[in-house]
Amino acid sequence: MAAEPRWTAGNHPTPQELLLAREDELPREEAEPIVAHIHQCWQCRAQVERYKRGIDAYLKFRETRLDPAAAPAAGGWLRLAARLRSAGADAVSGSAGVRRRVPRAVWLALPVAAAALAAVVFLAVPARLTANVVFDRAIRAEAAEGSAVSRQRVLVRRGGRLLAVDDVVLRQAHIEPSRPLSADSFRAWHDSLISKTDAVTTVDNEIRVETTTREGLIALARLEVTRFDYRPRAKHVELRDGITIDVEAVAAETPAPDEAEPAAAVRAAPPEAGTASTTAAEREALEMEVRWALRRIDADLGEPVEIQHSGDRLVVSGTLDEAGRKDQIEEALRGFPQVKAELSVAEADADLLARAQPIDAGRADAGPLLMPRLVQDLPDAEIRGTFVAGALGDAHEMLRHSWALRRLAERYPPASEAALNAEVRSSLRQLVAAHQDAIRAAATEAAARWKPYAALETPPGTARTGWQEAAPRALASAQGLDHCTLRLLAAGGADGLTVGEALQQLRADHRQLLSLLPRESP
Amino acid sequence: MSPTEALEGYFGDHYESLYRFLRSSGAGEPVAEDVCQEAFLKLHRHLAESRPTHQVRAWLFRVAYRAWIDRLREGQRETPAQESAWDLWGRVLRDPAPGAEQELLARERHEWLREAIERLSQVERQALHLRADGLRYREIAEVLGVGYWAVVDAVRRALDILGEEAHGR
Repeated sequence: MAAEPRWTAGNHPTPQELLLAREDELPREEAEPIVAHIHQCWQCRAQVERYKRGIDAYLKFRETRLDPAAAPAAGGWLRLAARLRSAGADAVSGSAGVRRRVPRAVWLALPVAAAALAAVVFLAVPARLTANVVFDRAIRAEAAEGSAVSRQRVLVRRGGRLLAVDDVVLRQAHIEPSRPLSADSFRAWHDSLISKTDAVTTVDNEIRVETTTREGLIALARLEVTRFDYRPRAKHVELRDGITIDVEAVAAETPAPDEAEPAAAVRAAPPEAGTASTTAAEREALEMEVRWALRRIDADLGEPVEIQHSGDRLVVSGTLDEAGRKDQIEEALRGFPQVKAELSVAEADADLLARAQPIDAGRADAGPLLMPRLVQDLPDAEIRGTFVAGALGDAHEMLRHSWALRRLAERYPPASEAALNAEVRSSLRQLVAAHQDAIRAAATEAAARWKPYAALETPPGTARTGWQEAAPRALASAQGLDHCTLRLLAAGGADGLTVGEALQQLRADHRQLLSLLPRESP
Repeated sequence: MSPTEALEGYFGDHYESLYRFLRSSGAGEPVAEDVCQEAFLKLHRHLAESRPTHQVRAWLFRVAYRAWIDRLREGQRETPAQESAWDLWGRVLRDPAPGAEQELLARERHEWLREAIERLSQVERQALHLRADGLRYREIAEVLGVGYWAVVDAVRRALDILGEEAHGR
């Protein structure tokens, strides 16, 4: 029997689907039945015609009212060309395009007019020094510098201790390895932020732009330019994981000819292991740095990657699912000469796949518990899919970071932690806090997402025990929460759970997990 | 083609619509032009560095709109700009041109349209504006920094209101 068409005269697409079908925003297989439905359903056809009338009305409004009132002043390109020229752009002064468009008299008058205008603006409105103004001038100064880029030194530190400079860290800090001091890359990062706070200060002979944000991996970044010519002279970036990066122009010694490379980034390396045996403290510190390197690429969240000591060296071993992931981890470890990566890629076992039994659909238990209600509340499959994927993602995120905390707790029981030197212990605490923050963030997301179905509380952490003791219980809660999410939204099961019970369990696990975290620092 | 020549082409294609969008989003005349120019200067840097230039229009709108929002947040020099922006909507929606009889008659004929536009929220106006300029829903969402479905809903609500008011006119 042919399947009943999804959209019949008595079963209407949503108003959004009608609009998107008419707007060519849907894939053809989804749009065609909707368009066919519109042809046979007067109600939906009337809705579509209403949209069309709305479009006509708006275009009339734009044409007769808004566009004439909001037209730009003539000469926009000329003014832009003048700015380009002042920024030293390519061949603007000789741009055939500009000359073609502009009568000769205007062309000749332009520099005078632009200079006069600039003078008037400069004198009448003392420009307030904003971050954007500083960036503009710094970028201009850099461009004027051309290929004669100064020597620049990059220093990566954690807790005052110098680390190897690796490209992963630089990328995260939005620092170009070839031009670490570049104001351009600073600005690109700055402009990509939606929420940020800028502070521009002038101290002695330098101007500092400091930007703080809660978005992304960078918590704070500062660009320092000389007050005299706006040439960038230093950059400071603080990552949320405790790493700081400082870039500075190296003092103007006359470099030897072979040192005068254009992109002369001097990479300050950490002390070499040397031939002498490293101390236990140094090995602990190295291990902690490797753990952070893996953290930065999320390679400590459940992948089978092990860290082991082998004499003075550290061996990172594991079998990854994909060659790309193996390369990524090797890249992250490249900055550590004392670390040996023994990574391999898992090969598919053809025999195992051949022996795999197909799932017996007849034995399938009832579907996800909440799905009937979800279908009713979110009839659009795409919206429903987004909700389900988001909720599963939140639960998985809490599970992965709880797992990582448990692994750390096994590696660093309280006695081991106490034996670490202060610096490494502080780094470990930051690593633990990073996982706890990630759990808290995912739990907060989950609370917002689940609001229509379950009031998930987000109590402040009240952990009274040490993080090591809390870790196994947190993992158990995260596992329970993951299971309930799966049962409610994505999988059937023979566990006899009802919707109410599953939601109640979800709430309990969520509350328990958050209560095992320490109180969030302000 | 040099970056400046390429930029001139993009400028001719997108400047007016970008400027109008900023004006209708609340930017005063000088600020709208300045923000537009900054967006094109950035585009010039992209072109000079031979970076990819697909979806330039959406990129320009996104960069310019963020820059405008940044300026609003910085709160510098923008108080008069805001006033002048509301002057724009005031002019467009309320003030008849004094003495222009023909204009007055046209306004009376389109009174319903004025009232309907006035009922739209800022996001609905912005979404309609960008859609009328040819941006796709996903691009509009990126420009305004809102979700895809928020844009779909904004356009749908706005067209519903306008279409309802236009019925029988």
